[in-house]
Amino acid sequence: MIDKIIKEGEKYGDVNVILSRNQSLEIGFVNREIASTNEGDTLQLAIRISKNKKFGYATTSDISKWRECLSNAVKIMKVSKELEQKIHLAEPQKFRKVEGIFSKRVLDLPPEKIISKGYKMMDEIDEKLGVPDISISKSFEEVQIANSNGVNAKEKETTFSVITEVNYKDVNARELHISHDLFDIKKIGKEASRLCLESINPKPIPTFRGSVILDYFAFSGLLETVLIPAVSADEIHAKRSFLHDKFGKKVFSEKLTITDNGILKNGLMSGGFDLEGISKQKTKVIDAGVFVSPLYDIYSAKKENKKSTGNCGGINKVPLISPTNFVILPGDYSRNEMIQETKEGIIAKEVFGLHLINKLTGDCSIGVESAFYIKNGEIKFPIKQAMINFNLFEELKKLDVLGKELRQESSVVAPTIKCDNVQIIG
Amino acid sequence: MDCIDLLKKIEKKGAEFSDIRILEMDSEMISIENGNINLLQKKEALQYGVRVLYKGAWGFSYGNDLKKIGPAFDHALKLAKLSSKKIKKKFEIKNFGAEKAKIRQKGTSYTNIEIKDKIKRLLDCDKLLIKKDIINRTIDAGFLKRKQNYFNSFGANILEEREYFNFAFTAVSKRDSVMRKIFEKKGMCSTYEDFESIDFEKFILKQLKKFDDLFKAKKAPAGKYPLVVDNVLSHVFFHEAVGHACEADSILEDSSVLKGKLNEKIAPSHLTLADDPTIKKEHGFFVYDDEGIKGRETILIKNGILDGYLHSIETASRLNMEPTGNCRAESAIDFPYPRMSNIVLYPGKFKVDELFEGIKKGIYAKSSTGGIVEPTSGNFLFNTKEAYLIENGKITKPLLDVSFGGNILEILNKIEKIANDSKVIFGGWRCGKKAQTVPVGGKSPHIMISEAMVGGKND
Repeated sequence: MIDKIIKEGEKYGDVNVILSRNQSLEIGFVNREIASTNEGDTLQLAIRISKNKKFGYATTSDISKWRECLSNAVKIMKVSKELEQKIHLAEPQKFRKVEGIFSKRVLDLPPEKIISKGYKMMDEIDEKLGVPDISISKSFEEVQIANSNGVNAKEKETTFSVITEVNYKDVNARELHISHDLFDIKKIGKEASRLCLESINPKPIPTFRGSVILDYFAFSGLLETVLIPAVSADEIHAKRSFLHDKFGKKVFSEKLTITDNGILKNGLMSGGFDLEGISKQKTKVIDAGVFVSPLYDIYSAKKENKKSTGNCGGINKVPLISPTNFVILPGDYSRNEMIQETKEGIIAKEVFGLHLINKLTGDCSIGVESAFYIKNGEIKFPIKQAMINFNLFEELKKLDVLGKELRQESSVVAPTIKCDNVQIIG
Repeated sequence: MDCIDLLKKIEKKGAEFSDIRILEMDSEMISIENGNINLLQKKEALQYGVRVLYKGAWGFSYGNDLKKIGPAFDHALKLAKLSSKKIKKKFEIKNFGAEKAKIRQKGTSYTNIEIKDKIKRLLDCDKLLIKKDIINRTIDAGFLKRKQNYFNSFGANILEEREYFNFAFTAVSKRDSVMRKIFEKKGMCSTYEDFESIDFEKFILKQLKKFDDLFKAKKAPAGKYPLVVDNVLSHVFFHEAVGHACEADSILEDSSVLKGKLNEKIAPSHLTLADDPTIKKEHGFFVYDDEGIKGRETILIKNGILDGYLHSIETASRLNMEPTGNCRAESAIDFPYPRMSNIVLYPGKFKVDELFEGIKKGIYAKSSTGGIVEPTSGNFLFNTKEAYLIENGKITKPLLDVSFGGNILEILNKIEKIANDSKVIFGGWRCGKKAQTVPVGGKSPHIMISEAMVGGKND
């Protein structure tokens, strides 16, 4: 079918096609009982037609109607306005096979097994805790991309994930893990249970300035919200990024080095190619605090006479850039050492209200969850409710303490960090 | 394929209840950035989702290929059977009655309007944003038409068509190396006539005037202060802080602070709150929910007393209450859950001016970029789009990026005054839950809260 679409589409211009199929199974548990079993099998066909500086894009979930989808894309191209420059297609190339993104064990895992894994995991959660929500899911995705330049490639990946929420009275805790392969989910239950037990009897804290230790979820959330958009070449060209005039300049602490690594073994966002058909690769973005490269797709790279970094995240918009595995170089602190070095402050597993951050200025005024008060190098008690207020760019400039352990649950691969003299509101 | 036959077949195989949704959606999105069209797309989707209930356990199967609906019922039954072996707290589904109806969208569909006409309208709006200090500007519009066929084994058969549109713009202004952004949106559950009749030009020009204040704005003080909250923010507040806690699934899941508080006083007696999908053209409007139950006004808090929850057939059956017609899903490939439609705070007796009286130092919080609530603890956080300092009962200086937080049950009792200026929001809001978003709206007046935690900065 793809060949037919390309042949037919070539009459109108250059053609890009993405055909994706997703099979998923999700089992949900509520209050230590199975509550939902959902399975799905979905398809999507996306077509982009481009000619010179114009393009049109359309999708359908009914692939028997590909001709209609193609004609919608052509219709849209005709009414669209010209872009600043021509849209180029990827050249045929040999794609690398990335290890660790497909697992037959996940593909073959039957629902009965997931259900029994779920019950075993719940046994790890302390009896006195409530378990309002556990979700265990697996998915299999097959993506085929092709263009009228002769690119045609297919890739399969599997995902297995678990998220659990536990609570006790008005205290709650959450733990999750996502991987391409199976893993021991009992650990996730155990960890959520531990965190919730430690959070019981929270106390209010005063408003003060002190240290804030941000665990993986808190730090990765901030990077995803504020920093990742800022390193996209498109945001930079549009001058929407605070980095737009900072190329080659030192913008952050020299302790901060960030690499976008699309070929990371087992990386959640790893793969052979991006959605335009460019090989995924490694791109150093921040090198010891210096901004060394934005992330590009073909269109944004052409603007600077450069090559795409394999970061095209979709063909519905030109340009459309997204990160792969955004890897922060670890430091050498253990979590305990960070706590020991804190005179007065808090440690927070999660922050909330990320969508409320001002991305332009980096000003963050957010709430903390699963947070503990630290005094004289020791965790003293769980915190009832608190907010923190700081400027992320300023904090990254001063960043001195990074953890040595990395974790990945999204595109960000990051350690725990510690910031000092932050406004904490109790 | 005959859906009624499929439902009968699966009933013979042991299903206690089953239903099917077949949804056709068409959408168009247009995005203009600095005068360039950088996103223009047409999407078509055809989806089905089938649910089977077997001995108190659900199985759900979905996809795009309608030829696979028959096998999907079998998969769903198999999953329900696996699940029923484990379930201890079974429930019996009640038949609350089955309706048959065809609800057609009246008016001119956006699909009958040429894309180039819509683009022209948006480019005209864009021209208003061309100004020396504006370094980046975007105009976005989206149109969606949906037609859903619903059948269940109780005999319900509902066909409902609805159309939505959204409009949004952003402008980033740079003055003396300082950047400030304005983002505003509108949205309705309505057809193209309403999109045409809204004076977006006037709307944009009014919003742009806010830049002067934004550049003058200073950081809010950190600490606890009284707040006056405008219509938009108060609807977001009640949606997030109270509405979600009233969704009956969160009560059953033990994740609502309002669990066990039915018929208890949780708010001042001058406060009445409802959910109402029948507000015509507001974003959360619908006639029937995704289980074929007719939507209606549901009182949640009556004169300060918790009066009701929002239900699906399942939660109503489990809690021995009446369904409210609030079971919704983002699309047919999503499992439906109890959700809000339009949240309505009943107006109070005060004039807006009277809300400011007597405040020595406080904050006037207007509009919102969103909010978030931790349902178990009831802790919440909201952000304002605009804020002003109140000193001695008067609005004095503009403030930047104010977030305020607190705990639902504590804050509800601190709502001292409710104004009489109720207004339908038409903001094109969407609400997220269980990884699904649905269109929602509301109607709300100004309110005055005697004390909330303000996340500013003390120098």
